[in-house]
Amino acid sequence: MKLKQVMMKEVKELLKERTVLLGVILGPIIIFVIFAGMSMAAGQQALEQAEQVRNYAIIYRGQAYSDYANMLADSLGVPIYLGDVDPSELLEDRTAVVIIDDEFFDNITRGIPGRADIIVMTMSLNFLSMSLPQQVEASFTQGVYNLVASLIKASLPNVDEWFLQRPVVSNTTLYYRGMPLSPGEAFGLVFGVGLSVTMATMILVMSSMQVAATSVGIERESKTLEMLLSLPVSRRELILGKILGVAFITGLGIISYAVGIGIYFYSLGSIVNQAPEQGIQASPTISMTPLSIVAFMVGLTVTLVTSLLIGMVVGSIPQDVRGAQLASSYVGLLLLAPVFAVFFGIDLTSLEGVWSIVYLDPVVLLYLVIWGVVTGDHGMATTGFAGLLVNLVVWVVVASRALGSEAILVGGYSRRLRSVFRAGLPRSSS
Amino acid sequence: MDVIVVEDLRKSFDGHEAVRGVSFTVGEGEIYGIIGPNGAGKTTTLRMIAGILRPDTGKVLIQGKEPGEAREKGLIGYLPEDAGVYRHLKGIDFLRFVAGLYAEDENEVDRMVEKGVEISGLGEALNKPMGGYSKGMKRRILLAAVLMAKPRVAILDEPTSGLDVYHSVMVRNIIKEYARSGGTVLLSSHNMLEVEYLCDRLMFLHRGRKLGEGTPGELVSRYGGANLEEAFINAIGGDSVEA
Repeated sequence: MKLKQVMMKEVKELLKERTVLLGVILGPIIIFVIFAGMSMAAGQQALEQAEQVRNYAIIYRGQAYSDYANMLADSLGVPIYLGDVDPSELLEDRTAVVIIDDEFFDNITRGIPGRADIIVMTMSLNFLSMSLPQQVEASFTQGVYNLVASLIKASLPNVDEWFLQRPVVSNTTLYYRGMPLSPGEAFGLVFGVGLSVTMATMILVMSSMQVAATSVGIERESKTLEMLLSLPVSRRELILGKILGVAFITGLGIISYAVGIGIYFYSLGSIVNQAPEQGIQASPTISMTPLSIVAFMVGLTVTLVTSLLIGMVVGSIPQDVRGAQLASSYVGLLLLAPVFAVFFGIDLTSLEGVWSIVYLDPVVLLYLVIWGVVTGDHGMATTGFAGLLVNLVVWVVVASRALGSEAILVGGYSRRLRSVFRAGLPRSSS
Repeated sequence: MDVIVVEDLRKSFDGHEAVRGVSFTVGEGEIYGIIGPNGAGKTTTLRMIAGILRPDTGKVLIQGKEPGEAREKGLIGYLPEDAGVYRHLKGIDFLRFVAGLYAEDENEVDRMVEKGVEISGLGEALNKPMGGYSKGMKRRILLAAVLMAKPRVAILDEPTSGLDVYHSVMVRNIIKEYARSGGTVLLSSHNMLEVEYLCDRLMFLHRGRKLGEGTPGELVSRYGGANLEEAFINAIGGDSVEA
C-alpha cells in the first residue's frame, strides 16, 4: 500500500516535469515521426531508382552480330543504337548506357565472358545510387544469359556452367553530375565526405549549440542575468561579448576539428591510393586544394557562428541549464535530420515546394558547401555559401531581439513555448 | 535635489497590471523603502527604475536622465533579490569585472576593487571560486559589487533576504554607511522592522498601487497600530496580501 503511494507520487511528480515529459515521452514520437518521413522519402527514391535501372540503352559498335544485338535489346526491353553513337547524348535522358562490340559476341559465342562498358549517370551520390552500376550490370547480364541459354547454348554443347553464371565482364564508370568517378572516388565521396566528414561536422555543430545554450542557461539558472543586464554596458555589447566568448570556445573545437580532419583525410587518401590492384583507383576528386580547404573552413566557421546564435536563442527559452540543453538537442536533431536523410538516398538538391524549407537549415547549407567544394561543383558551393550568409544575418537579428528583449527576464515573447520548458523568471518576488 | 523621480509608473504582463500608477521621489543621501507583500509589484518597480524593464507608461528619471542606456546605468547599482554568482569565477575577479564596466581607467578599477574588498569583508575567501561561498558571503560580494563603484543610486531588492541575523546586521550597516557617505538608496523589503530601522521614508505598496508614503513614524500614526507591520495591515484594510 505504501509502495503504491510512493510510486503514485513519483509518477505524478515526473509527469508534471515537462522536461521529462518532452524528453522521455514526446521525444521518441518526434524522432520516429522524423525518421518515418525520411524513410518514406528514401523508399520513394528507391522505387524511382528501380525504375531508373530499366532506363538504359545499348550501343552496339559492330556489324557482324546485329541480329544478336537486336534480340538482346528486345529481350531486355531497352533501345539499341548502332554505330558510333556518342553515349553522353543518350545519357541526357537515361540512367545508363551499355557499350558492346563484335568482340563481345565473338567471346560469348565461344563460351568466353563478353566485355561490356557500362556508363551510369547519377545526379545524387548516396548509398542507393552507389549500387546503380551493379544493378544495371545485373539487368544486362540477365539479358545476355537469356540470349545464351536460348540460342547460343544449342550450338555450344560443351559450354561450361561457370560461363553461364558470369557471361559478362563489365568495365563500369559512374558519372556524378557529369564527372567520372572511379569506384575508389565514389567510395571516398560517399563514405569519406558524405558520411564521416559530415557526421563530424554535425557533431561539432551540435556541440556548439549546446555550449551556447548552456551559456545562456547557466546565466538564467544561477540568476546572474538580471544583475548583468543592470550593469553599465549596452545589450548589444553584452550579446556580442557572449557570442565572442562562446565563439572562442568553439574556435578551440574548430582547431581540434581541423587536426582531426587532417588525420582523417591523410588516412583516407592512403586507403584510396594504395591498392590499384584491388580495383580502387587514385582519387583526385577528393584531394582538396588549399583554396577549397579555405572555403570549407570559412563555411564551417559561418555555420558554427550561426549555430551559436541558434543555441543562444533556444537556450534563452527554458529557465535552467537542463532545459536549455534539452531544447538545443531537439532543435539540433531537427537541423541534422535533412542531412541524415541524404544517407537514406534523398537528393537534397532536387527538393522542391514545401521541402525547400530545408534551405533555411544551416547544416544543410554547410553540407552543400562541403559537397560542392569537394566535388568541384562551384554552383552548389556558392548556393550553400549564399544561404549561410543570409542565415547568419537572419539569426543575428533574431538573437539580438531575443536576448536584448526584456522577455528574456520576465517571459512573454514565447510564453507558450516557454511554459513547455518551465521557463521564465519566478514572478513571486514582484 | 531629488535624485530619483518616478511619475505614474505602470507595467502589465499578459493583461495583469503589476504596477498601477506609482509615483514618488527620493532625495540625495536618503534611504527610501518600498514595503509590500509578495506580488505587490516591488520587484517590477525596482526593475523599471534600474532600467532593465521598460514601463508601459510613466516616467523614471535618475538625476534627470532616463535609465536604460549604458551611460545612465552607470549612475545606478542594482542588487536583485535572488541574484546568484558565477560559480567558477573568484570573488576578486568578479569585483574586477564589475569595476571594469563602471570605471574610466585601470587606476579607477583598482580603487573600486579595493573598496569592494573592504565592503565585502571576505578577506582571503575572495581568492576562491564563488561557487563555494555561503549565502551570506554571496550576498556580501554582490552588495560590494553594487556599492564599490559609488553609484548615485543603489537599488537593493530585499537586501537581507535569506540571511541570518549576523549577516543581516552586517549588510544593514553597510547600507547605512553608504547613505551617510552621500549615496541614495532605494530598497524593497517585506521585513517591516528592517525597513523601520533603515529607511528615512517609505511607501506601502499593495497590488501594484501606492497606499501611503512617509517616515515610519508618520505611517504608524496615520494608519494606527503598535508598529509598522500593524500599520500596513490597517492600511490594506484586512485585504489578503496576495492576489
